[in-house]
Order: sequence, then C-alpha cells, then structure tokens
Amino acid sequence: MKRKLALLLALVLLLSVFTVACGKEEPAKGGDKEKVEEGPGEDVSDEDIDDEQYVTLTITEPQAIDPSKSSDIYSADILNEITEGLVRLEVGEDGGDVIAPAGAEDWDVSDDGLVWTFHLRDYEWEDGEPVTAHDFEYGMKRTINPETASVYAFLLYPIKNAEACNSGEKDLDELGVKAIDDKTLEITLEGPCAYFDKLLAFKTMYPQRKDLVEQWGDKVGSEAEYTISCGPFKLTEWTHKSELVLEKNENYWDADTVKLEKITYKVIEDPSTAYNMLSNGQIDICGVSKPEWLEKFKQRDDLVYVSEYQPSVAYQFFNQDVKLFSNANVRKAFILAIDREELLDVLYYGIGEPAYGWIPPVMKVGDKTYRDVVDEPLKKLKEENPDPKELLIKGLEELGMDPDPSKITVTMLQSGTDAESRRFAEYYQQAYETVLGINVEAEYMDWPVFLDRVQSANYELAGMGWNGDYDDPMTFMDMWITGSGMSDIQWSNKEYDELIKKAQTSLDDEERLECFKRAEEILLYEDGCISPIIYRKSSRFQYDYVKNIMRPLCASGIEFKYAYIQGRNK
Amino acid sequence: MLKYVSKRLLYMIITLWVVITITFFLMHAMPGDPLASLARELPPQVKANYYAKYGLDKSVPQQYVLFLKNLCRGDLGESLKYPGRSVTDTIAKHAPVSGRLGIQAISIGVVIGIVLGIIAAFKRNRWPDHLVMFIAILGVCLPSFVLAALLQYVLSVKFELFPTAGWGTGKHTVLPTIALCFGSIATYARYMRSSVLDVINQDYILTAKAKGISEFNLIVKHVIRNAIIPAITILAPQIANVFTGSFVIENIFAIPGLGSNLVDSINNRDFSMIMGLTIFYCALYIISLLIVDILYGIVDPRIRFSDDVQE
Repeated sequence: MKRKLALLLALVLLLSVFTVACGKEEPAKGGDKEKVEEGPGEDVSDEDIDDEQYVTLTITEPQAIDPSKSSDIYSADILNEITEGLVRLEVGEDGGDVIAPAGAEDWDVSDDGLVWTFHLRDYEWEDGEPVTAHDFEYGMKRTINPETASVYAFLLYPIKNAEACNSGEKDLDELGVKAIDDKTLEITLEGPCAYFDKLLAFKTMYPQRKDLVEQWGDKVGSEAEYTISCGPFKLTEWTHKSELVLEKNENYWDADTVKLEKITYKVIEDPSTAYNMLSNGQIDICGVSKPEWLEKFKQRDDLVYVSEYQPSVAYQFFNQDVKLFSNANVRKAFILAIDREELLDVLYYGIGEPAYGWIPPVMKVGDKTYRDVVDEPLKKLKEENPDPKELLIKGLEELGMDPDPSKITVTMLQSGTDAESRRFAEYYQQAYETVLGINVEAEYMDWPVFLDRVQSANYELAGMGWNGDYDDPMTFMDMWITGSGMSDIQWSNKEYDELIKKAQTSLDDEERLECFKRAEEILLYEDGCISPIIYRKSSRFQYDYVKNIMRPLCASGIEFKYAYIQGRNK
Repeated sequence: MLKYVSKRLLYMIITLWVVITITFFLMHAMPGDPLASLARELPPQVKANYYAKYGLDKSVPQQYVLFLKNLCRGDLGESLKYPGRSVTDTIAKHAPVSGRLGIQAISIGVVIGIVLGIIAAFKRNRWPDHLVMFIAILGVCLPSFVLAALLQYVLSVKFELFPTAGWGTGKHTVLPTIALCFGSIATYARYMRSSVLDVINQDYILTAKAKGISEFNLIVKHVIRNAIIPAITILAPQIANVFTGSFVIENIFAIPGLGSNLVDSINNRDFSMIMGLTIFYCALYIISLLIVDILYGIVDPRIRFSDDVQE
C-alpha cells in the first residue's frame, strides 16, 4: 500500500507541477523591445560624471552567450555588449535605427549588390589576439554548419549557398563568406538583398574564435569562463538564474568612449519583486507594465518614464479554411468590431498605439520611414464601413448561411490560462458579441499547445503578437506569402506573392516601398486576412542619474556603450 | 533491518522506472517542442537540423530506449533550452540552493512547531494555547507567497533590513526561510498538540509522575518520544514539498533554486531537463519516505522491520 502511495504521490506531485506550468504563459508572446530618446555622441568630460560608474537592471536568464546556438533576446543582449561585430545598431537623431561602422571601418558593395567587401579595423580580443576576417568567416560557417543546429541560421540565408550548406547539400567551403586577408572580409550574396545591411548587426554575423570554440566544445557560452569579449564590456561573473556581471573591457578599441565600469543584470522573474527593487534603488532601470505601479512611479521626481516603439504588433487572425472565415466581408466585420482606442486603454493600460496597419511605425525602407508615407489601410476600411454588423450579415448572405448573427458561435483560442489571459480573452469575447451579435467561446491553453494548433490550422479565431527581426517591412510581410507564416491562415494570393518576391530582389527603395504598400493593402483592405490591433510600445522607468542609454528599434536590449552615471548620490 | 532496507531499495528502483516511463511518454504526448518557445516559424531545414542534433527526429520508443541507455551510464543529457548545460550539472548547481533553504525552513519549522505544540498541550485552554492555535490557524490559512510579499515589503522595502531578492549571503536566506517555515510551524504545532494531549492522559505518564520525575525529563523521555510519530509521518512529504513547493518563493525572492528550473523546463518543453528533474525529485521523495520508515523504528521500537510485518 505504501509503495503504491509513493507512486501515486509522485504522480500527483508531477501533475501539480504541470498545472503550475500551465498557468505561466503570457497572453501576448514575444520579447520586449524598447527604444530611447537620447542619442549618442553627446560628449561629457570625466570630471562631470560620478566616480562610481555602475548600473544595475533586470534580465531573464539568457540561454547561452553563444552567437550560433542561442535564440533568445537576452543572450543577444549580453552578446551585443561583449562583442564588436561588423557594425553596431545605434539610435539616430530621428529616433530610427542607424547602422554605425564598428568592427568594419567601411565596406564596398559591387554594382549588382551581390559582393560586399568589409575592411576591418585593428582591434583585439580580450586576451590580446587580433580580431581577423577569419574569425568572422569561422563564426558564420559555424552557424550555418548543420551540426551546430543553429536556430537563427536562416538569417544568413541571403548569403550565397547558405541554405544549401545548412541542409548539408553543399560543402561549407562553398559558403559565400571568405577572408581575403586578415583584415578583409568578402561576403557574396545569393541574390540582391536590399536589407542586407540591416542584418549585419545580428549575432549570427559576429566573429568567433575557432581555437576557443574547439577547446570548449559544447560548453561554449554556458558559463562566464567560456566566453570571450571583443566589445565594450566583458562577462566576468554569471551565477545561473541569479545574476550576470559585465565589466568594462580595457582592451576594447574604443575604450575611451566607454564610461561605465560595471553592469549587473539581476535575473528577476517576479514583476513585483523587480518593482520593489526599483522603488528603493536596488536596480536603476526596470520595465513596468502594471497600472498601479505605473501611477506610483510616475509621481516620483527622480524616475524618468520612457515609452518607445518596438518592431512589434499584436494581432488577431482567422482560419480561412473555416466556412465562416472564408468570406472577406465576415473577416472585415471582425476586424472592424474591435474599438482599438478603447482596447488600448483597457488591456494595455495605454502603452502602445492603435494599429490600423500591419507595418509598425519607425520601420524604414531605405532611408524613408514607411508609415510616414503610407496611410494605414484599415482607416479607409473603417470609414467606408461604419457598421461592422451590416458587413457581417452581407458576408453571411454571400456564404448562403443564415443571416442571423445570433445563431453563429465562434471559438477563439487564447494562449495562456492565467488571469491575465482571461482578461484578454474576455475583452475580445465581449467586444465581438456586443458589436456583431454573435456568440464567442474562448478556449484556453498553454503556449506550446496554442502554437501547435495555429500552425496546423486547427482553430477558427486566435490572437498573438509578432516581433520583427530587422528594420525592414520584409520581416513583417514575407510571413504571409503562400506556404509560409507563423500563424497558418490558409490564405494564398498570387499578386501578394509576386509583390513580396519583387521587394525581396529589388534594390530600388521607391519600387520596394510601392510593393509593400500594395501588398499591405491586399492583406488588410482588400482581403481582410488579419486584424492588427496594437503597435506595441515599451514602458520602463529609469533613475534620472542614468544618462545616455539607447535602445535601437531592432536591437535586443539597451546599448550601454555610451552610458554614464551622473548624480547618483546627490 | 538490512534485508528490509535492501528490499525497499529494490522497490524504489522499480517505482523510479515506472515514473520515468510514464513521465517520458506523457511528456512526448504533450503538443509542442522546445522550438515552440521561440514563437516564430522556422524554415524546415533549420528545424530538421535541430531535431537531428537532439535526437528528436527519432520515434518516441527509440528515444525512450536511448534515454534509458544513457541513464544507466549516469548521463542525463544536455538541456535543450540552455545549450552547453548538462542536466546533472544543473541539478548539482541548483539543488543545494533549494536544499539549503528547505533544510533551514524545515528544521526551524519542526523545532519551533514541536515546542509550540507541547506548550499548547500543557497549557491547554489557557492563553498560551490560544496564542499557539491562533498562529497555527494563521499559518495554515496564509499562503506562503502572501507572507513572502508582505515580508519583502515591510522588512526590505520599508525598513531595508534585508535584501529584497537575490542569493549569495546568509542575509539573503532570512526572508524566504521565514516565509517557508511559517506553514510547517503551524502544521507541526497542531499535530504535536493533539498527540501530546493523547499521550499525557496515558497511564505510563501517571506512573512516571508518581515516581517523582522532573517535568523536563517527563517531557523529553516520555512525552516527546511517544507523541512524535505523527509529526514524523508528515515530515517526508514536507521534505519533498520544500524542494518542489518552493517554486513560488524562489520566484519572489529570485533564488536560483531547482523549483524555477522545473517549471521553466516544462514551459519550454526542455525534455532532457524535465526527465532529469523528475528523476531527481522522485528519488528524493522515495528516499525520504524510506528514511521516515527507518526513523519510526528508531523512535518507537514497537514498529519492527521484518517480512511478516507488511503494511
């Protein structure tokens, strides 16, 4: 009996753990990305700043400080501080991203846009070894090597033979990356790629040390001792799930610019704990989203509130294999049924902006900010159709269904099972039911299950978020071409596919912009495939003595290279 | 005794095997894989490389056989979520943290609980009894995370006596230990009170008193020894609870213990980590049951170990 009891108890124990696990998923998935108002460059003399130059903030446990194997933004954040790649992402005067030369002093592009030649500056690794073009070549080859199983290998696919090498069809020597000499790196592309420069700052392009990677084997990046820096800071301590300590890298080529001596990242998962630590100054910077804390912190004079655009949109989507959603008018009715302004206030506490388009603000095509020149398609749709319910009834008639909306029941998938997920689902439920007069049932599940359902098109209606990878509308648009996509909406449009293909291969900014404009119009205005809801924005507080930090739109975290502390103890 | 223990050890291995098997197949029956936490559509080639690297391209029975083979060699594999970290290393690094906290909390909880229980029993229906029972009811009703948040706010944010969160010094353990042991104090006090009340009405206590034994000796030699059995019975699940149940506390105080690793691994479908931690917890649980059974015999010789005494 006791033995059976032991087994039973062990199982119950296990089950309870599963239940706990189910409750943890956030309603909206995706990393946090933020951006800052201050630019670089602003020079301060050393006398003006504090003697003690340190900053403390929170982070989620990074996977591994390995440019090839990690796939989370937190690892990328640390890697950005300790590595000098070809370029660094910085914030320009207009608030948009600027690609600043870093490891590469300059580069030439051949007339056909296929061959990129980078001229590296003289700079060193932490241990005094020079950083060479061979390190860059090795790094990219390691990422593409199928045995490495790098999840982000696909970001190198614009490079010649990258996809073939990644599948093992071609030998790694055929990859279009070559060190001409120690200081010259040549990258050959598969085809023209207008946004290739936007990919240069990505971790998959970082240099890696062949000798150390081979020496460390599988341990690369798993502990502080298995990392090496060639960037502004170096990782000196890493207590897993507790804290990471970065110290200034005196060997960095631009060490004079770097003022901070120490950055401590505390691994804090519980928001209330982090807020408590911010309120008594144990941490200096903290993302804040809970309304009661927002109010509290906003009243303090020593805290600065920062809210900036992210390359991220929260959206709802419809499975067009379901009879009801095979009709464009029905889908449009669902799109228009949501009052985005009200939703922003209720669900997001005002953090963000109502989305009437799919490509978020600040994203650029070449040098032009896309949203500055292209109107949001859903605004037009809304003007032309003041009554969503009428649109729904029209759609039902076209489908030959009973035109009485009250006889329709739609099931909506919600990722997450916690109170926050319920708050989201119940709002949407109520909004659709009130405006359209239909019935909506919510089905709750944890994230992996949710993802499995939407990717296998086993759903009717669902919502999630999408984060772009790089500063070009392509990162939002290529996911809807036939046979691809994060959420399987079972939609295929020949014209859309052709437009995206054209934008992929064209080097003409004007032409690309026109392609995206037309494609977005098809996606939202004509076919009503998805329902963008909110352009997500960041929301954080930082003490006023933390100066000059910046958060590029498409970077993974805060850039501390130019940061300094002024007046902490005043 | 030796025969009994070795027999129990054998059963333990069988139980472990059953749990491993069930967990393994249940785990693979869950939808989703480690790539799901990325929340993005990956090119098929990238997925194929990943599955091949971690053996996820094989059928589940094949993976099961492979897993058992590796397990026999003591190899629990590498975490799928955190490349480069072996599961055994993770357990070796984080279990002592949970363990330290758990042992601190349990020892304090047991000692204070038992003392309070005895006091309550001897002073029954007087104010010490009422006070202890008030604490006990509070301890049972007040969830540890509420207490944790309260302690954090008052003792750390308001008065800055202790660090808000983190790990490293003894000071860091104070608040989580209090939060964790409060519940056990309450439980032990209640059990102890009622079993002491049972014991002190027995004839042998009267005899002892008649012999003129001092009150201290009476309590230590006669009362505690006879009244502690129920307390030992609840000790085993408590030990395991301290390891698993501390997830919430670990989360609030940002303690790098095993609890957060387990929840994290399930959310991320980190298969090798789920298996490793399940085995660890399960073994721990079964061993603590065994220890409790042995303790019974030491405390109370009436409970004997032999083949004819089955449960």
